[in-house]
Order: sequence, then C-alpha cells, then structure tokens
Amino acid sequence: MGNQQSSTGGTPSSPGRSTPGHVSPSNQTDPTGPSSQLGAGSGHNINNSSISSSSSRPLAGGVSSLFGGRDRSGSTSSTIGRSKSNSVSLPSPPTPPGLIDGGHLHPQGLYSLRPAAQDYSHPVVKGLIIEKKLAPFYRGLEDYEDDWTDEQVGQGLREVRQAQAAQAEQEAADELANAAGTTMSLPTASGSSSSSSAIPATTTAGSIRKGLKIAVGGKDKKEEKERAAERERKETRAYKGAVECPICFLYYPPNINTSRCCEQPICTECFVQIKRAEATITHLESEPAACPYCMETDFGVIYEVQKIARPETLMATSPSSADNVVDPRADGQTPRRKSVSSKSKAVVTIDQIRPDWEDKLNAVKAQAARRASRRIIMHRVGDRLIPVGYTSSRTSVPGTDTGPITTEMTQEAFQQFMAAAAGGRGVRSGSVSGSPGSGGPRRSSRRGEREGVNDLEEMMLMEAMRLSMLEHEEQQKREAEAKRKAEQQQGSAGEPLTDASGFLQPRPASNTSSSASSMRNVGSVPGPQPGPSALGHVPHTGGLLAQPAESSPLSGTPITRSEVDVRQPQRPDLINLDSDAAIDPAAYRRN
Amino acid sequence: MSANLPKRILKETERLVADSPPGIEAHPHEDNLRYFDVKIDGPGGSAFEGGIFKLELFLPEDYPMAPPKVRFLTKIYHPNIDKLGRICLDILKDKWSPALQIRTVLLSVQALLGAPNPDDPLANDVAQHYKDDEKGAIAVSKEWTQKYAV
Repeated sequence: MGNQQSSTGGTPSSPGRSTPGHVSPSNQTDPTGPSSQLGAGSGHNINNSSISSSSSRPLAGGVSSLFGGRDRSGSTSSTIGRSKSNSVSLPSPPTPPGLIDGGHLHPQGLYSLRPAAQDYSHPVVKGLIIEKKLAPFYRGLEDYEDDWTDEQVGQGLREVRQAQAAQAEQEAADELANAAGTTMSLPTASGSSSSSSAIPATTTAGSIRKGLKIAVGGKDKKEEKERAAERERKETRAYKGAVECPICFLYYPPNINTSRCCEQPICTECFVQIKRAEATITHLESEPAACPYCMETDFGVIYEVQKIARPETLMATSPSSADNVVDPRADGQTPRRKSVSSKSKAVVTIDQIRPDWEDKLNAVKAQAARRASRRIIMHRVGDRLIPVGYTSSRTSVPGTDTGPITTEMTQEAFQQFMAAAAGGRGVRSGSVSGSPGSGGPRRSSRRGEREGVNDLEEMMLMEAMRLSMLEHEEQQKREAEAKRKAEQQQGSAGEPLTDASGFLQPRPASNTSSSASSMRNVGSVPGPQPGPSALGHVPHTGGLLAQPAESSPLSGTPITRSEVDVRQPQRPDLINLDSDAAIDPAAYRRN
Repeated sequence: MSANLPKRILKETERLVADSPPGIEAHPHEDNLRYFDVKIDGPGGSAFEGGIFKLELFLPEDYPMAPPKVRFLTKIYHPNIDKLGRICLDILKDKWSPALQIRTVLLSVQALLGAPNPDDPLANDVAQHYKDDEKGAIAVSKEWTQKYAV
C-alpha cells in the first residue's frame, strides 16, 4: 500500500488521489513486492471520484484512508506509529492491502476459486461491496468465543491466511496444469514469491485485467511493516462480536449481510453461491432462488455496515452524513427488522449479481429446441437400416420454430458417399449436399451459423453412417455372391424370393452387382412420404414406419423409410433416468 | 480430496457424532469423509416401529449448495421409497436449502417414515396399495419391517 501512496503522490491530505489503492484486488500481494494493481477501470463505479467523495468524511482522511478510509465504522484509526512487531515475523502471508470494513473484494477460497465455481458477475459484486450494499468477503474464523481477545482473533485470522495460502497454491498449481497462460497476466505473479502470489489470478482476472500497474522502487520497509500491522489490527477489530454464517459454519464480523426476509446472517461468499436452479434440457425453467432460511422467494440480502463493533473512542464517527446506503436500522436499534421487499434499493438479489441468468436460460432453451427437432432419417433396405441424413431445425426459439429442415443425400451425394466408403476414406461432411427440398444454398448458410460443436457432431454422425454403409455393402456383396452361386447351380433366373419377414432378399444380379446402383434407389426415395416438417414432431409409432418404396424396381424388397430417434445416446444429459436419488457406491469411493 | 473438505462438513460431522438426534446415527467412512453410514429407527406408532433402517448418505462436491444424496439400504415397504431405496422427499431435490444439514435431512426422512404420503408416490404399487387398502398395506409394511429391519 505504501507504494501506491508514494507513487501516486497521494499524501495523507489528498485522499481523492490515493484511494484507488483500496480496491487492489490481490489479497495476497507481497508487501515487499514491487508492484500492485488496481481494480479501477472495470467500469463499475470503481473510480476515484466515487471513492473520494465518500472517504472525505470526518476522520476518514489521512493514511487510514489508504487502508479502507471508507470504513465509517470507526476503524479509521490513524495510529500509524504503533506496530505489532510479531505480525510481520510470522510465516503467514500478510494481511493484504485494500480492506473494506476489514474485508475483501473477492472470495477467500471458502468455495473453490475455479472460475466455474465463481460464476457470478465479479464487477457487479465488487461494485456492490464498494457501494456498501453487500458485505465484503471476510475470512471466516473456524472458531470464535465472545470473550476472545483481539490477540486470539488475530491468531485465528493468521491461521486462516496460512490455510488459504496453501489452498491457493494448490489450486494455482492445478490451474496451471489445466489452463496455462490464460490467466497469469497479472503483474504480481512475476515479482513475488510463490506463496504470496498463490491466489489464482482467475478469481479476479476478469475484472481487473485492465487494472493499473504501479511500480515503485525503493520503499521504506519499516513503514511497510507498520502498515501491515495496522491492516491486521483493523481486520481483527472487525470480528468483535462475530456471528456464525449458518451456511458455511464459519464466524464473521457481526455486520455481514442478512436475508431481507428473515434477517438471518449470510456471508458474502455463501451468498454469491446461491443462484437460480439452472435450466436443463429436460427442465426448461429457472425459478428464482428462495431464501435458504425461510424459503421466501426472490432471495435478497441487506448489508448493514454500522453493525460493526467499534472502539468507544471512535463512536463519534458514526455515520450521519448523507450516504446512498439505505439503512433500515439507522435510527434506533429495533430488535428485529421487518421483511424488506426484494425491490428495495437496499436489497441485493441473486439475480442482480448474475445479470446473465436470462441469457443462459434462453441458450438452454435454444439448445433443447435444436436437439428436439434433430433426428436421423433412416432408410430401410431389407433388414438393414441405412442412415441417409438427419433433420435439424434452424430456428432456436420454440415459439418461432418454422419446422425442421431435412437434410438428405441426393443420389450423387450418395454415390460419392459410397465411393468414399469403398475407398476407405473418411467422408467429410461437406460431401453431403442439400436435398432437393432444402436446397444447397440454404443448407450451406445454415452450416455457417452452426457452432464447431455441431460440426463435430455432424462429422461423427457421418462417420457412423460411413461405417454402416461399409458393413451394408459387404453384406450385399456376400449376398450377391451367394445368389450368383445359387443361380448358377439352379440354372434358372427365378423370381426374387422375399421372405415375409423381410429378412433374406435374394436379388437379381443386375441390381445387386453394384451396391451403388441399389443405393441410388434408396437415395432417390422422394421426400413426400413423412413430410420433413412432420418428422421432427410426430410421435413415433413403434419406431419404424414401414412403407413400400414406390420407386424401387425391386418390388419384392421392402425399402422402407423410417426415422430413428438417435438423440445421441452417449450424452448423459439427455437421458432422464431420474437417478439423483440412486447412489453409486463406486462413484463415492472414488473420492 | 479430504484435504479440501469444507470446514462445514467437518463441523457438521463433529456435532452430529457428538450430539445425534434421538433414533438417528450417522458415521462417516474413514476413507471418505463425505460418505456416511446412517441408521434410522422407525418412528414409534408407525408401521416401521421397532425397525432399524440402514441408509447411505453422500455429500456431493457442491454440498451444501447441492443436497446430499440419501438412499435406503434396508428394504422397506413405503409409498415414497422405491425398491432401490430412493426417497421421494422434496428437500432432497428442488426444495433443498443450503441452510439444511445432514441432521435435518435425516430427521425429515425419519418423519417421512411416520407419515407416508401415497399421493406423491415413488413406488406406485405400494402407493396404490396404501390408497386402496391402507390396513393391508400397513400390515405389509410391518411385515417387511420385521423381516428386513430388525
């Protein structure tokens, strides 16, 4: 923190310039490290003016403003001179700069710090913490007793910090293994020791990439120690009268958020984990989260910063100046607050910190719509089912679905396909052109819209079809061979014998000698039978719709067209087994 | 894995073992602290009275944000518990709340034994039996309790 001060020229009397240091996002910054970065510039009210306006409160100036001058709770002590000598000599990582009410702007590792587990909007949450509408992220104490001394609390916090560093190191290592290079662009990573840079950059990278980098050369180490000690005192003080978060079972300063409805405490780290149930392909709805305590819908919390216990001497700083924080308890300590509407300005709801929830829901709906209307079209040749294409909807919103598009192989495509199959080459999906019905250009334009994933699916599909073709061709060859032999022995051409069940179909040599020619017949089965638009929606009637093929010269051979729902059976998300209650012991023991 | 065990799970386990609710026992496996062996006494006055039912309980990775998975291991004739031991209980599904705990979940399961609800069945045949002939169904439940849970 001292670096910011000297580099920005922010003297104690110019809080407006120096305050950006408060929002330094890196809580593990080595105090001796040469650089730091700021969270400013992420576009969420983290700017000099908003901070300086509130930090220009009485008593809030001076060096203390660097350590969280916005803290009107009274912890804005200006006792720089005193320093706990033991705090710095301990092996634990130092208390980071930038405390807000003794807390932090980013999660402390209670839940996994992987980005997937921290999927709320970081800039929004940071902004809310700075605006004091949401409690900062505090370190949770494992234990706390009301008669604990500051020293005991301090010890507890140091232990938490050590554990954090270890965990962060672990996660950082995992992270490196997985996603090297994507997140390590933070400037602190270079200059500091491994343990101090251990909080994975991912936790904050999204919002602070653009953060300022302030490099400072030669600074006073002693001053730094004093500041670290001051920070630690400040943090420790916040935990007076700590309360247990009923969700993570850790102890936090008494001012942490409370539910808007039933006024139960909840730490910010647990709060940001509560979200709408995510829509799935089988459940296309996303209900707002209910209060975990009283099940009231539209969960929201209120942060009442003044609940922080403060030294008597600083009571004078209690907030009376204008502030945009709505405070239902400002006048008189009512024993219990009434339920506050989720629309109230003081309330932070779970939708507020995940502004993208609706987009996500729509994305799932779109995906479901695409899948629902996508089926493989099979042609039945004798006892064989030959996949010749698939249907797919180009529209994504169910209400505006204009019906699936049928993609089928034309004769030529089919021949190409067979030729490729015969040659043993992989068939590129591009070799399938549009059917006469859908038209080539339309299809290609649709291809352009699709994502890579779908292309991959398509290719796998084509590969499966190719293998099926190969097998079919082989079988036909064998049959033709057998037939020819039989004919030679009998010496008569004979009528095609067709088993009633459609199983064995001896064919005239003219038709079976070339599999391509017989395939052509298959491929030429025109679309009008089950209309393409019906394919995606008509419930299956027994799975196989046996229909004689009018164009086949092999009147005895049933060439049927049917559709088989193949809905990618290997995708577990599509199999609704309702297996949540079932426990697979093997899976558990893996852990 | 257990190195990353959330403090909540450790604390919950401690409290559960130290002070378990009457008629309920839960012990974590030594090699997997997320996996519990559970025993629940059939509630007095119910068809399951006198039985001691074994269950397994697993705390998934995202517990407590996701509900624990609970399953009966002892065979039981109950309209809301199927033959695989799966339990139809709203708090184990969409009504889960992270403020609930292993303790409260097991108490709810115990309460479910005392109050079968054939209108929201998981085992359809049992539920139908309970609806058509409650006395007969209760007799079967008692019989199964004697046969499998004593």
